Amino acid sequence: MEIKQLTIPAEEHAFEQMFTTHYKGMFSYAYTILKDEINAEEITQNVFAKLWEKKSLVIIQSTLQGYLYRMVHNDCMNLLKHEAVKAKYEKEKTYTMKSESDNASKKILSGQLEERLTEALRELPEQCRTIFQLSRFEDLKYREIAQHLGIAEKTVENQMGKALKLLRIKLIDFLPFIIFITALMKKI
Amino acid sequence: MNNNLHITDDLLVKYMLGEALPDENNQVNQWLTDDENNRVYFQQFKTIWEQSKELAVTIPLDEKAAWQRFKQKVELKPAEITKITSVISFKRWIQMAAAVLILSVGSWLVYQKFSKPADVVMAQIETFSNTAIDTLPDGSIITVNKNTRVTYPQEFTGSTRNITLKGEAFFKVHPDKSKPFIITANDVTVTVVGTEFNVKNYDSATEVIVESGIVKVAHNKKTITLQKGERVLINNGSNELQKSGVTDSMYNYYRTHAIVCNNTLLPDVIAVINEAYNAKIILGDAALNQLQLSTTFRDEDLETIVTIIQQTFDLQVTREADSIVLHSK
Repeated sequence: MEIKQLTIPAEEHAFEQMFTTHYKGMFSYAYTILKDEINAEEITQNVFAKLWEKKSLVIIQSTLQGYLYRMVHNDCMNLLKHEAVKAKYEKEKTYTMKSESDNASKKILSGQLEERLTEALRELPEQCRTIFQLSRFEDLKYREIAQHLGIAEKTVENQMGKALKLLRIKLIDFLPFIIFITALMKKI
Repeated sequence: MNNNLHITDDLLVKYMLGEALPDENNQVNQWLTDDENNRVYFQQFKTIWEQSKELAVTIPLDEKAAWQRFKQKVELKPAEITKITSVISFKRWIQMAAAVLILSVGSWLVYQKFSKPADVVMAQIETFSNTAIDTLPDGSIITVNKNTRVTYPQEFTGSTRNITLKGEAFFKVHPDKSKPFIITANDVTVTVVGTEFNVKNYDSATEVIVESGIVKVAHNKKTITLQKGERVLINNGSNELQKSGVTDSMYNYYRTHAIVCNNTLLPDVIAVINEAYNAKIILGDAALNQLQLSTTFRDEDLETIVTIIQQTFDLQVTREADSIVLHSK
């Protein structure tokens, strides 16, 4: 696949257009990694701020979207490394799990699965994680993902297979319970 | 997976997402009917896929509002215009020589710029209601007060060690003469090679206090040098860089966990207590401004501290909804 060289728009209006086009997707990406609204906004804003500051210097060797998502992913991972944020996340996690529900046992189990899933997703390599993001949360087709990231459709296929394979390995101990509970819920 | 057909994870996921071709679909369907284990395996993928949807953002997003916040954050300035200067010379060979020189310098500059990684990976220390101590990549130790954010590259790769600060921190900089350590706080720049000092930066001003070594502080093209026991306070929008002596060591309360008062004027003590405890103690009359206190508070709670001050000076305490007012009796 052909790799285009793109530069960041230096003019405010064009920059704004880039911002509004990609903001939601980038925020969602940061949010699904961090599960924290404030940090997700901060990360997304900072990615754009970095681009704005050195806009004329950046030459992107992939597609714009691929580049933006990679920056979001990197910054999120860095943030997570920091203990204070981790501690805060732990606290919020406990809080979410305590939240009321109409069906306590199902909620607790899916709460735990959600937590495990978030952890497992964090361990996916960047490209794999970004492709998963576009497929799962932006509902893009393989062909569209390939176009957005400037990669081959076959790569998307491989990476999605890899993502599910890795997630399955990470969650395998937990899956029988959740499958059982979901099946039970459907019957009631 | 024990089966006669070869079904890869890639194909299974493709099938699950409706991306597979008709004959691939048939293959997978066949594989699923063949064996209960296959169905369990597929069900696991499906569960992961369905459950992961639950992680999606549920907050309504407004990118226009986000753009406004962004504009405030970076204070958008008009795009810079690159000036092209032409080289005028009267002798052709000078022109040629100059052209060669410009070309080589130019390409060297371009090489310098682009041979660096496009992304410097930044790390961040952010505190909310607690203080923190951390070691930077160069071995410098930083003590961070509450509500502070420090940003620095994960590796100091360039010829300087650059970090930015919002809030307050005490730096014990690892000496390295070849790589100056540069802190940017608001529009104040603090440059050192290896020393110990405190930088505090809040909305209206930036303060630097030096405990050892020499620190260079720059603001609006003016620079001063501070030595041990010296302090500078720079108000935003002001052009003055005025040195003064440090009279007390209360500023480092968040590092030493002690507020040490040594014949310190009461208003100064109260200011530090208010900051440390996020309290609002007000001196109710001017007579209190001249009182001096000598004591050390070590992690006492606010009530104890107020009582100690009250008893020391025989004051009257009035408690209001969000403040504590001290009066002479």
